[in-house]
Amino acid sequence: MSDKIEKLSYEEALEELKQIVAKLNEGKVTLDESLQLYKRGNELAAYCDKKLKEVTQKISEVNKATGGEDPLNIEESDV
Amino acid sequence: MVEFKSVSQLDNYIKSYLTGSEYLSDFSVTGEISAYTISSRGHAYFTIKDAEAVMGCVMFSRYIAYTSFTPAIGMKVTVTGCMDFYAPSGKLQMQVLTMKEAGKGDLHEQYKQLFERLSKEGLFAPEHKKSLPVLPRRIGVVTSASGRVISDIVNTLRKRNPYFDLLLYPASVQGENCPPEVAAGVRYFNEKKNVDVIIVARGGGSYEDLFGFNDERIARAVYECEIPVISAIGHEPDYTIIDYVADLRAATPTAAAEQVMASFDDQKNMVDNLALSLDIAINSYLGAKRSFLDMLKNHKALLTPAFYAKQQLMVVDKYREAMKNSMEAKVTSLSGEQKQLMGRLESLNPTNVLKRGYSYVSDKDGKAVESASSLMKGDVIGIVFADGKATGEIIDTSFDDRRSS
Repeated sequence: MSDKIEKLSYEEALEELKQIVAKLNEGKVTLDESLQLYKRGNELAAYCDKKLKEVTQKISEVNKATGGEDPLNIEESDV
Repeated sequence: MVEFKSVSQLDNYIKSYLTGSEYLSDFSVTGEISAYTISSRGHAYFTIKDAEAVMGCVMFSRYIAYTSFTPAIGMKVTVTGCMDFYAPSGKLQMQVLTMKEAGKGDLHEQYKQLFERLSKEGLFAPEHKKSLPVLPRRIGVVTSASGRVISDIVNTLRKRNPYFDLLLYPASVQGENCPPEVAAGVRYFNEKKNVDVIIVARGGGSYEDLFGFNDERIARAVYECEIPVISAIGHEPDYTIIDYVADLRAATPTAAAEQVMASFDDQKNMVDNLALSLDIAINSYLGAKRSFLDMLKNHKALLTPAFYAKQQLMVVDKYREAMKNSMEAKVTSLSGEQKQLMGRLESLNPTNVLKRGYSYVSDKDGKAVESASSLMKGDVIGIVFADGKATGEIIDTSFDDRRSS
């Protein structure tokens, strides 16, 4: 619950977010707790969203001669 | 002895002799390819041999087009065609019309045998199949670097969602290089573990074109791969061995790209929905607290304390009534014997005697006077009747002899 969000995997963060929503819906928390949960839930949602977009958007090709990766140009087209 | 007028005439005779020969005009022979070149015009010039002999062959490009594999030196092949004498170089050679790999039977028979063997071994077992990654950040693709397949895949992915990386492993998807190269591609990703999911793809083609994917080397590489593999070979009706081993079979390369992104979209929607649910949950939580508070503030007890007190009195009344009812119930439940006793007690009641015309005398203290001897002249007495009392004064007393004797 009090883990640093950055240390969570995407799946863990998503799971905790689900639990927070469930807890708030149940309503068996104090006002202070509810505000804490809401704050944490918002941070988790933002973190999950960030994780989803955490790629370099690179298209590359394995270079069998060098063992490296070369950029690959693909024209945008109508599929 | 025949005398030919020219070399040309001799060569022409050989040509016509070959054409007329029952055996040499239509035959097949099996040998190993020992030399192989393609001319600038696309014709194949090669030799086939066995341990002792060699034969030169030519296969024109229009026939090569129908060959399902790429011939190479060392390959054992069965060729059909006819013998031909090429006059310009004075060489006897075989004109090849069809060529297939020797020792390999019918393709479909091969397919069936491999299918049954791998199936028995458990390579197609559903419990071995892995689910697609929740978050496919980096996608590995094994396919031809040229051609439409890779651009179709990239463009489909981009259309669905721009957030992905892609790494292509270029491989032949047709001919004899297809199985080793595709298998190498799958193993490359499995060793490097540098992608989350692998798509093995090839565009549509003939049964022979796709046959490279009916290969044990590819099947084993896919089976052993720890990263989920999606196969997308040819079009919807085409099924090859890799489709049975793969963790997921997509109808087309485009469909494979859609499948990969479907799970990404699901995640995206889930996160968005949860963020929304969170807002709704906190609002309804605070809303519930607020309306409870409002309810308390508007409570009548707070508005008029007297109302509350009155309510309490009503409660007390209610209990009192209940108590009374329960006592009455107890009385009516008295037994018959008790009722008789009470009736006899009633008959002894002195008031009833008085009702019959009797009366009694009481002294000044109200006590009943039982004897004349206790009275003296001048005493004030009370005479008690059934319906009242009279007061009098004793004038005289006398005693009844009968009583004393």
